[in-house]
Amino acid sequence: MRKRLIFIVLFSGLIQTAFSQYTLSGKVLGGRKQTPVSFAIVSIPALDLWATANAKGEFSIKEVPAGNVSLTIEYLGYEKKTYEFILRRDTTDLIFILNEFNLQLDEVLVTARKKAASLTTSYVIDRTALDHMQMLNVRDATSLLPGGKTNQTNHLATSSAQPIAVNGTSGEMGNALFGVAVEVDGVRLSNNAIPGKTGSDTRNIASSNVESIEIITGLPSVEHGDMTNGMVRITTRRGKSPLTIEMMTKPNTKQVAAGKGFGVGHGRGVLNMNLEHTRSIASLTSPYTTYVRNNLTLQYSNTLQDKQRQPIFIDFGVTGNLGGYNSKSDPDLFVNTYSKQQDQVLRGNASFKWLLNKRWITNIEFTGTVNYNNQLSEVSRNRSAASSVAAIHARREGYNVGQLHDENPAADLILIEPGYWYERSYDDSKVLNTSARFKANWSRKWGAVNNNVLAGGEYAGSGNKGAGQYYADMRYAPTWREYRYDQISSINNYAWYVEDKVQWQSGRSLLRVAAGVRGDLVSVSGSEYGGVNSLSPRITGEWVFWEKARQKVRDLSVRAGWGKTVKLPSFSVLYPEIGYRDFLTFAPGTTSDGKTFYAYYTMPSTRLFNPDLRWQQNIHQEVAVNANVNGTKITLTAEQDKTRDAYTSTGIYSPFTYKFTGQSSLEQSHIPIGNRTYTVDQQTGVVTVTDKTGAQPTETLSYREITRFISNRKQVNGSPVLRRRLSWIVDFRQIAALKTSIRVDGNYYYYKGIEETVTTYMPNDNATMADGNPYKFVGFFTGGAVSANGSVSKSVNVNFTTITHIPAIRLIVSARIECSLYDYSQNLSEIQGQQRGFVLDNRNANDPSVSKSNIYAGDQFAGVYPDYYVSLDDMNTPIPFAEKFSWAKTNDQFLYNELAKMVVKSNTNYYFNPNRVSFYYSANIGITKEIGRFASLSFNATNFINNLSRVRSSWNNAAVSLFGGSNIPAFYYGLSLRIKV
Amino acid sequence: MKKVLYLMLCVTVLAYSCKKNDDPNAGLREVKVQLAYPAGSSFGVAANVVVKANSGTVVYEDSTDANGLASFKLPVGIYELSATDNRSEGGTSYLYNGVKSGVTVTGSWISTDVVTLTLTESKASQVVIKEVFVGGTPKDDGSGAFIYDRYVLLYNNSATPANLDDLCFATVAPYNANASNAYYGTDGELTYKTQGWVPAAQGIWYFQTAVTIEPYKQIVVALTNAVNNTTTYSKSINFDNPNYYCMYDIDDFSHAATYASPAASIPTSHYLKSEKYGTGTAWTLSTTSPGLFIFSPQGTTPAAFAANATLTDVLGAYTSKKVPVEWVVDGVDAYLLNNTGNKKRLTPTIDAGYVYHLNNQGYSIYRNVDKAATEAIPGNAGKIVYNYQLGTVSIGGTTDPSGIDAEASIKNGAKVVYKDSNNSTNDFHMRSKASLRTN
Repeated sequence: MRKRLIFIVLFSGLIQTAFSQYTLSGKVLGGRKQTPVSFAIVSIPALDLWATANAKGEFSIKEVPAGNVSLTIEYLGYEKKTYEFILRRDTTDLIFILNEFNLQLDEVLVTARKKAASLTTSYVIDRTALDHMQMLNVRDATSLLPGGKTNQTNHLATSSAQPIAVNGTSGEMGNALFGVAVEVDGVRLSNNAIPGKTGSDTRNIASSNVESIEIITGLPSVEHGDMTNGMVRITTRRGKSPLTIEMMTKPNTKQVAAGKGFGVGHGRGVLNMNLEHTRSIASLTSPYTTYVRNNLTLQYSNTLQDKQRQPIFIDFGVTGNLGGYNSKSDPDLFVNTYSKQQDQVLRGNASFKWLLNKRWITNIEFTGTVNYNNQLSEVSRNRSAASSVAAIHARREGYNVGQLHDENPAADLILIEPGYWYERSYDDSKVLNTSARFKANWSRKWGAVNNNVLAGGEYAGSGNKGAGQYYADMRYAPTWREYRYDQISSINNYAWYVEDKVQWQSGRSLLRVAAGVRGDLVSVSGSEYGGVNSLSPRITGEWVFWEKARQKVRDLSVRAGWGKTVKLPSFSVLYPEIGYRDFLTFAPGTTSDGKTFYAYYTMPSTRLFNPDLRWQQNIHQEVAVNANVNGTKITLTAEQDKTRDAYTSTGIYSPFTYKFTGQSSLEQSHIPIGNRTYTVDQQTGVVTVTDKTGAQPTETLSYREITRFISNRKQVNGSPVLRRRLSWIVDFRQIAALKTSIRVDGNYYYYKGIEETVTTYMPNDNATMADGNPYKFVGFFTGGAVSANGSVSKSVNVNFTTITHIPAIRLIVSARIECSLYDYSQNLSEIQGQQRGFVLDNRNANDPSVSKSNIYAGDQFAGVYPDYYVSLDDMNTPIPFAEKFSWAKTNDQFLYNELAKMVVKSNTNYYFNPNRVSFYYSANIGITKEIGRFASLSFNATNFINNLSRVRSSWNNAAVSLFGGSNIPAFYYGLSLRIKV
Repeated sequence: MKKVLYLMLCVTVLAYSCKKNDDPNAGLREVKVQLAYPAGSSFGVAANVVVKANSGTVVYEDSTDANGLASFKLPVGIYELSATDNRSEGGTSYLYNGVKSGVTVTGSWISTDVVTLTLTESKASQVVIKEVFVGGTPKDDGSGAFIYDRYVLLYNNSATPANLDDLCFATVAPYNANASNAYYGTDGELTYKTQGWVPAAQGIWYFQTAVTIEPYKQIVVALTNAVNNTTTYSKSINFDNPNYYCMYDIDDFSHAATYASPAASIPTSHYLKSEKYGTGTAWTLSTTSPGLFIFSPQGTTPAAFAANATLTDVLGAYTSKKVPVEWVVDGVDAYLLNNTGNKKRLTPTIDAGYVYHLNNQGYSIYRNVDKAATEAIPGNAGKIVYNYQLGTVSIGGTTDPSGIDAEASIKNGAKVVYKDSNNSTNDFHMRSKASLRTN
């Protein structure tokens, strides 16, 4: 190693008092020629003191308390270094020489690393690892977490978003993807103003510009809120760097990127610029449906020095993205039919960090961010009809008869005439997130104790400037109602937080404790919910028994944490889109040329305010042990998440009567069909027929009244969801002779979700009873009208990774086997830990079995009754279902037949069987080779052995092939080249 | 030298692999099939009954000897064996049908092994399904097929008027012949075959008023969109006819694209009523491989039958009612052409065979003409039109082996008797143009 660190520190003098303060200054040099590394950041994290090197590489940190100092120097393109020493006097002649980062270094990581000195469970994936795995979407990085699996979607050209999952998966209860917080350079990609309850799409983040990704599965600092399922912090490149050109090719994706960081005049800061073009296709056989990403990022940073040498670090960033999903050029689609979705982004961040280093304050920091994401989608479909099509646009309650667009373009019910047409629809979503943060910290050291108090406030606004769904030509707009996102008030969140971190050193031992609390006030103007407060206390602590000891167990520490996080509600919770029920009330016969004049009764649903609605929250607990045994680094983390009050909804039924007039009422009409004009009374629904010629008198048609239920949705809080994870990373000491190190990482994951909310149910709200009337009963089920109201799953995933790193030839080769040792799941039907439902003797039985009672005994059908039901005849009297059903069986055949429709049965006799999937695995390889100092080549292949084995499921004893299945990724590969100029 | 040796070796291997097999029967196994007639039947084994062995791609045929034994020479494979025998006595036509699926002929098949094919007895129907059109017609703009112009023709195949009181239409589960069929047991047989019922999925339709079909006449029942569809789709069907019937009951089935308000010319008394016990807003009769049957409830009404919870059969996503086989008047089981996943759904008493069907082309499933019976009707002389041209053999389908153009003959004044052996393989063919199409 030519670029050895030369660290010259001359310490002399006597120890003065423990509260003495000194100046620490020196120079940072780097590279082969040991030139000054301007803008290198020199910091003492424990004291929140820092400085930036000037153009000569010089830095100075004043008023550093005497004693143990841990100094860190880092800069883009250089190896990060940490030095520890005892400070006893002013030290002004330090010289640090940083090594350029390349594969000639002894330690290069291509896996996730546990974040050092963090009081939570957090993993960091650096650029080298991202290059080595050829990350295309930042969500690919989760595969490097302990027990992580390679993402099976190997391109970006999907019609739906690709959000990131951290704690929990999309199939689980508790809105797992919605609860993940994603930040890019501090800019929160809030999903609160995205229609629905989903995660933020990460496809528009330029993967080539990511410097590192931190994935927090544990408890983040109180600085961070609005999450329940983990956090992802993405840091892009900033600082000086040579011109780097990157090219990546995969079967579905081509990417080219260029980036450079350069000084802006003498001492005027550094501008880093990165440009990326990525084009991904959905199918190799039809390479026309694409997702395109054209991303430009400018990141400016500078440090201003005042006369008191109190530096101000300023950081500005702006990112723009043009592109999106597009199937327009697909020749397999019918002419002029397509689906497009823009994914345009404008992200900006600005921060000012001022090191005051006063007795009463150390740093203050202001940050402002903005995130604008235009996801205007456009879909063109070809339509046709042989007769009039009713397009209902009514928003007020009442009866409406169809009118032709030419006669009344603003009619509540338009009749689209028979023929062919194109229907071009848009969904205009323009999410705008803004935030402003202020925080200050105060760090002091008293002898062996470091204390750091952090306090701050934050404003975050989530709004949507989109027009919602609309149509290019209202003549052909189908049944639809305007729901403009831009008319919904932004969700404003005001937060404050305070946190105290204490570090106490005693001999070789170290105690670190952080305790804080965060308060969120959600202000929802225009909503009944108004302002809602929530508090999130969090406490974590770590006891380091010893570090770097000369014994078998060199390092040993234990960490524990407890805390609460809160996920703020989305638009869909606060302003659920009004639903409309449209009942056909008049259906005259169709004329020979295909025309008819339907009438409908429109009933808007009501947004039901729930004063008891609570914000979704998560209680997180974790315990971790870190050790270094003879050079083998071991990390063991146990975490538990209990998500409460997940956002969900239920239907509230109420009776409703309307009039129906059919063709039979017209059969006695004396008015010829060609001369008829129909009118419907908007309030009463009575239909009259007028003779256009005036030859016949106006006729009032007879009708029949229909009474049925209508449903309104109400937001409620769901039942708790429990997740447990046991994760481990074992990094064995490198086998020096082979230049090879081995990592074994894995996790045990446990999930259990049981929904016990009582929800209403009708077997089929369009069904009639045997007497011809609409179904008149509503059942109330604890846990919903489903066979299983929850599930449990357990899994053990273990990954074996070998990494051969030969610095002399600048080569890294890694092979990773992703194993699923245990994959278990089971449908559950429970209420408060007790079995819900009963065994059926056969699939057609309606009564509980007399001889069997355990639905989990295997290979048997199971049924669930509603707890009770109500009838249209008396909505206020709940009737216990089981008793009435049993009585009706012998006393009222009609009632028995109708109530039997509410008995929910499992579809198969194996529905409640345990599902154990047999062992399976997949293997990936990666090779990165530097060609001299200026080029680097990576090759990566997933499932390179193309595993075609079969796995067996104990659920139904079926064996399925891994090929084309959902267990492992398909065989896939990619090649990338990076050139530094 | 090495290269030369390798070359010689390759040539030798190639030559050996191309060697002609002189024995045409090499690899074939002798398979004997014994027909078994139901106990108590007036009829028993006889010679010249055609037995078929269908491998899915090739159909082998042989005739029985006097002992009812047929003998095949078959390649190794899995076969469906079937036979149909038509006998008459005292003016009543008796049909004997049998199907045995999953007969596996292995390399170790012993030629002395005899497969017994059990036949079931049924009687020919007065009312038959003459035509089923569900596949849709090509749209004029080339964007695909219009699939909401489905209809069924019911035909009185006798010389006396036929009453359709309470006659119900049913769709069998699963809807598609090539879908996964959980009704098959581990023995490769339909589980309801021995239980005497057949599943009517989702819901049934029936006539609300008394309907009579005159001898050798038909009625049209529009299953969907009973309007003049030809104004938009020139190759489609015009249902704007006061004599037509239609399925229209928006209280149960309200899917707007499927159920446009029927043509004003169709009396509301011609609307069929539905009883729905499954899910969905449109009655599902497969557009690719329909399984349709008509039945007449005995001792109950259609509404009471559909409401009876004890007759419900739930299997996977299908909610059906158990229709006793003896209630079934007629049925047709269609297979999707060029698909190897087809499986029988109707039991032999209803339909012992199948007819291939292809959707989106305007093709229909049309009943074959009983040539002998038609030619035997006094007054048909000179009115029967031959040289039928609307078969689909050229695209892998079927044609009417009688060669009689039934529609042209009817227009010419002939009374047509259609073939009814309760075996769709014999009774139906795929017609290249639905009979109600005018373009």
